[in-house]
Amino acid sequence: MKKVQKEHITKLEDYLWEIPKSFREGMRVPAQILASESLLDAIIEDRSLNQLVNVATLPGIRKASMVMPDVHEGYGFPIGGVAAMEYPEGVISPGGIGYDINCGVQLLTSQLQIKDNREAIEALSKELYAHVPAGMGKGGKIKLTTEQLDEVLAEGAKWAVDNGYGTRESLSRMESNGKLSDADPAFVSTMAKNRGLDQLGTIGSGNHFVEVDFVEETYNDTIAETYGLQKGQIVLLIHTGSRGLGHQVATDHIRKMMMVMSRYGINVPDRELTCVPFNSKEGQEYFKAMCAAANFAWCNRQIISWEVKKAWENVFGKKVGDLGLLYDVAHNIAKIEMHTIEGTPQKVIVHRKGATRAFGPGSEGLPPEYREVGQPVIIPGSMGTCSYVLAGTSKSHEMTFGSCCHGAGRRLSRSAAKRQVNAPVLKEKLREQGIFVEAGSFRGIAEEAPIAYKDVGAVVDVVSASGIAKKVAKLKPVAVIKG
Amino acid sequence: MGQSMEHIADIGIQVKGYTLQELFKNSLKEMAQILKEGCCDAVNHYDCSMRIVISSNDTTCLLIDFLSDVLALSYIQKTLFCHVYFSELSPTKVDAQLYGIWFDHFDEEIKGVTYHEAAISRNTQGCLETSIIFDL
Repeated sequence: MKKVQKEHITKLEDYLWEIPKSFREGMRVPAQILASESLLDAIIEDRSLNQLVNVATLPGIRKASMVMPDVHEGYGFPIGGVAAMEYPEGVISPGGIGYDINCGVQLLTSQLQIKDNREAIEALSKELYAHVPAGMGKGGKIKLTTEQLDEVLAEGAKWAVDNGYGTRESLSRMESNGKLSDADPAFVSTMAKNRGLDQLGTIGSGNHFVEVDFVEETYNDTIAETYGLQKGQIVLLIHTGSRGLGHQVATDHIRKMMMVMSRYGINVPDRELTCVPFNSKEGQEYFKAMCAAANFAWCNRQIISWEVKKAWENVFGKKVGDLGLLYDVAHNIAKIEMHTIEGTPQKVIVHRKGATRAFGPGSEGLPPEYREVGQPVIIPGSMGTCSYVLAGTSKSHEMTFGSCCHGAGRRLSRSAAKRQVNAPVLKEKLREQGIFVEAGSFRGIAEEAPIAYKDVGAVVDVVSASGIAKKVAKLKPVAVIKG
Repeated sequence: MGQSMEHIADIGIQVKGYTLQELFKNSLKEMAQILKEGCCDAVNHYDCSMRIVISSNDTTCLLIDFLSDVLALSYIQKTLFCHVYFSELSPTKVDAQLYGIWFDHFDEEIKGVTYHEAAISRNTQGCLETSIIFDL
């Protein structure tokens, strides 16, 4: 297939670009890119736009296949992709969600200011590293029975709360209240369940982390106040997903779908785009298993937040007040949502792979306290740079099926980062900047070095300028715990 | 025979073998080396052995499915599998015995063995080869 070049792309408006349906036979809709011109020039370098064109060929896709400004090449779908399929005949594709089902971010807020507590940060980083199992192969402290695991898969974060890991109030501050009710543990294989039995409360490795930040800047005082954010405040970010259980759900169902896809007359240009009609037997089985894995991820982040609170208490005691949950949001998931297409409200199956839901003010499902200002959108950057808190807008519903970017987006492969980065030197350099890094290996630090990522500020500026999200606050890291 | 490939998000390998058995064996070792660098270099004992039986649509799928199942067993058993004995290996079916060593900690977490760009073909030197992209 010919590679997408700049001459194939039309500018629709500031920050919105389109590859027309005529670019390639088989495209059912155009492919749209949300980016500044300089980011677009960088995006063209890899094969993410060809992958976006492939997504535009999938049966039942509506309006356009889309990528956010943090897009980079993945496999099948590009990372940073959004695709909405007709409900219920359109397809569901595990590749449009990713192997790490409901990978997402949770943001906790404290009542402490960084200026008064700078000297305690190193001790906090060590305490967090001791309390939150990080790294590959490290099981958690909770060993579930198969019956308990089925409860987790059905109940999500509620299971954690029911079992003493957190408070009931936190559930309303999670996307979908931390539970997808279509989950059915019966469609999660024994192999997947075996992988999940000892993984609750673990962050894993790769780009997953627990991070201590402070609010460096606020951009919108009204929304910041509504979210409970103020300049100088210490906050904590948790980034992880459904661990091995979710990975196995994706593996199992991609394999099953590949065996039957031809029966539905579907032919895809990349096997990782394997899909079946949503309302088919296999489509329903995957959806119910995916929902169960998403519930596992919400429960996982809830338990990690409990572990984080224990570490926090060990350093600061109980008198400094509780850590509160600002919001928990998924960025690898498929949801059934109502969106208006060509003037008609309709149900669609929204696939978000490396994209965050960004619902605007007045949307159903938002906590009452956030309903007037829109959903919090949490955008982690890389260690050593910064992260952002944004607010969803009504324009995101018009433009991107209520979706936004999910991070900075990689610009270097892991091998390239390892070649270019001296991890011990980087760790020391970050320490000099007041950022303490605790990691299982220097290899992990090198792979996730700031140089491996795009400028998160440039990515956030695009979503802000295009109107799909509002900037609320900028977070600066002071401690990073990695696997 | 295998070497790593650049992939922006993940990690890839280009693996070769003169026979299907050699291709599968080399792929197995390369995957184990991603999980734990150098783990297969000086293996002189095995802690456990497991049987694996898989059928797939075609040979490329069979290789990816084989690696996916070995990966899952690696995590569940906390074991790295560096050696395999094939009772049967046809283009669409594998029946094999895996031999592994116990590990309590891996270097890297592979989330999935993808079908993306995998395609077994015979090169001009008569060698079977394919690329394999792992989701990290």
